[in-house]
Amino acid sequence: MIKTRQSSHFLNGLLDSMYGILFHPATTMAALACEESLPFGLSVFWIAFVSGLAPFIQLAIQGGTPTFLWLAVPLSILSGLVSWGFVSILIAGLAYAFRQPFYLEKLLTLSGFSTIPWVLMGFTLLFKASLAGWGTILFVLFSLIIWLWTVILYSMAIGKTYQMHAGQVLIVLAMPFGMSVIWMAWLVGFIGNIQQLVSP
Amino acid sequence: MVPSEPSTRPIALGLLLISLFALGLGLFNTLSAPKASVKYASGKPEQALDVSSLLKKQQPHLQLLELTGMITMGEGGEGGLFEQESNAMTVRHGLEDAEEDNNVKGVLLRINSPGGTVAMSQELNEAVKRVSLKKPVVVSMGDLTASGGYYTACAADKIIANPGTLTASIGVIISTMNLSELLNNKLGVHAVTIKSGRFKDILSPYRTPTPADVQLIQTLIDDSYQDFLNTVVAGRTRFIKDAALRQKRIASIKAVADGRIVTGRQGLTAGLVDEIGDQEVAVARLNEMAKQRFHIKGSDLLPLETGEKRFDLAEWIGLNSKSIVSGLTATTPAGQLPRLPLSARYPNQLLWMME
Repeated sequence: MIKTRQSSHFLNGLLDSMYGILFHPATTMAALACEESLPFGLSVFWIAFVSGLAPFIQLAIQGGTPTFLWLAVPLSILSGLVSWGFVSILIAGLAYAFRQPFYLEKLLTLSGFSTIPWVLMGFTLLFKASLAGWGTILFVLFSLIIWLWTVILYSMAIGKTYQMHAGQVLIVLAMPFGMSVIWMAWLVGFIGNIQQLVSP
Repeated sequence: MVPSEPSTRPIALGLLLISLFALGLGLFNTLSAPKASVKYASGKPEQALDVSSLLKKQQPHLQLLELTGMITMGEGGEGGLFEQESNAMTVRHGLEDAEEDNNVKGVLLRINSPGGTVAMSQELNEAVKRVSLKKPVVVSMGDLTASGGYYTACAADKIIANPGTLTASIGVIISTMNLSELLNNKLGVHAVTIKSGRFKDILSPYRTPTPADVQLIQTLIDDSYQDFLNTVVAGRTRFIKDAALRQKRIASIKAVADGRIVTGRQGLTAGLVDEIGDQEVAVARLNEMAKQRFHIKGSDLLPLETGEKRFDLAEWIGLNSKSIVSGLTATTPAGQLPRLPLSARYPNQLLWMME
């Protein structure tokens, strides 16, 4: 009885979060940020679900023989969860460096929900599958919209977690990119110097 | 918890289920398409989706494919930091695309090649044949369409050459260098070879070929040559219904099928070429054939698509193979590789259809 109630609670939470994130993202994210137990589990589920769909989406777009699909799905779920964790730790670490609270679980929860629009990729495949020519263009267009939608939701997740406004979120997102370019330039320069030193 | 009303749950559930259903449908559609598995089984690399080209290609058009340089399966160019697809492989993929694309109503294959490896020439010949079953293919010969280049061309519906084009060279070649005297007598170097069978070091530059070696290689050459000749004869006589004319064409082809190079005009006489003309003539002929085959009305020429060049990272960052190679071969005339035997220039390839 308790188990049934728990699963029904989970399913309702799943559907509510999906509807809320898609149509009322700001209110839903604010509410999710205040919740304690269920949201984190739901976000893990969404990440796993969306990552698990990825090989099927790729297969539907490109074709091929799905010999290793049984392996591709768990690997995709694993890599999705790992990269989700990695990016979140990176951003939480950045926030912590600038004297913000770490808030990793909150960030993981909200950023996990930001991937919900990827579930709609199936719709875009309908265009590709059923309409020749223009269908492919619509497929590309809608895929771009989903991608942009996810990026915006991800930015909102960062904003809600650390109480930042849009400009600050943009800086947080741009900083790792800018630093990676600088680090790469330093690394190339360093290797170049070493090469000059060791070459006769 | 998340702000919600009971009415929103069915909407979310519906969205989720429809999206999953659509994904399933997309999967089914892709996997049930017979071409898809063939296309990717052939090792075709994924191509980025280009929206502008998709818009451009919605209308019926002719496709231009350019086969230039050596016909080999390996990487293209003459080396470089990044592996590039060879031009022959690009053309083969282009032929596959043209075969599948219903908007392509005909293919113009512009060839400027001295030939190449036997296997790759055969693959191109087969690819042209497959396209030719669905839509007309016209070959326009440039400076040189010899040996493997002609092997590819002879599968087309029509061959058009310039009067001065060099073509034919119907034959197969294997070459090597015998360095044994130089190494033994001049340098005092003695090669040591341990082998599992007497032919394992056949064509080794460290020893003189034995009569048995020569005989074995000759059978190899003869077999490939017979295939070459049969392919040319089949390609060049397939539209001739009259038996006497057919025999006459076969005889004229065999008369020049001894490895010789002929001009476009001589090729016309020998039945290797259908018409003398430049690329414009070839486009006009292809246009006529496409309109006739697909019952397209109107006097306008169908647009000729040149195809997109694949993105080349090496070229983009200024490390294209040509610039590197020109530095390495500075002592040779511009644009030419040293005239080494084929075995030295391409150690991984043995059998050649080359002028």
